[in-house]
Amino acid sequence: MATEVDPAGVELRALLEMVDFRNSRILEVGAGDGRLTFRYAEESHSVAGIDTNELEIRSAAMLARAKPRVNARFLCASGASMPFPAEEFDIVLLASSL
Amino acid sequence: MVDALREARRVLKPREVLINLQPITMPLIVEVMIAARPVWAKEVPSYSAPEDVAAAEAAVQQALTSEWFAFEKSLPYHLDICCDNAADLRAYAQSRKLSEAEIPYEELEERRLALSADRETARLRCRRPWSLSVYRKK
Repeated sequence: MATEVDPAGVELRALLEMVDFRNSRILEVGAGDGRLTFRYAEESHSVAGIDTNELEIRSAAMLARAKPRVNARFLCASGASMPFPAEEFDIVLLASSL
Repeated sequence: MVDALREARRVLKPREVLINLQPITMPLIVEVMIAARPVWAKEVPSYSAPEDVAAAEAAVQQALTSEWFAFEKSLPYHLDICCDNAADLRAYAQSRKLSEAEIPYEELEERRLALSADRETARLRCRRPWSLSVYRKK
């Protein structure tokens, strides 16, 4: 079985309980390999994930291509300088990125 | 850290939502599991990088006092990491911000093997306290 993170989906339930993701444009900072992103992405309109770890973000981008129902894009970028125009997103999620 | 909050404010639409997920400076719990039930547990007394957590909290406080965001609500939870053995847990920890945590890998593996001997194969679970906080752009 190797390593599983949050196998019971506690984190996802907490997120969905606290915030309505439906039809939202979401930016996830610290998206890594998309572990969390892909769990909520189907609820949303679209997701942009950024991370400074190029290997992980490449892996997330590859996974995204294999998930046609998910509108997600991944970029190697820092939270300190986000490559997006002002007022682009409904939700910004900082995933252990402070 | 403050830069990330300033940028988050810039890219958010007016009155929209910032979510911050971050670990809390509290003990971790490491457990040996058999058939999804804990059969042995130990509290790891300190997460030895509290300065990271303190710096994140200071950045959030600055964003609040600068009135970039207003606090709405928060929820604590445990993020579980389940592994086949201590080597897998160590590899995971080293790739994340758990690298400074004082997890007793040797003791964990000894317990896991001992408890696996005459029952099902035991696995390991590391429960790390996190918080989810929601803020609204002002």
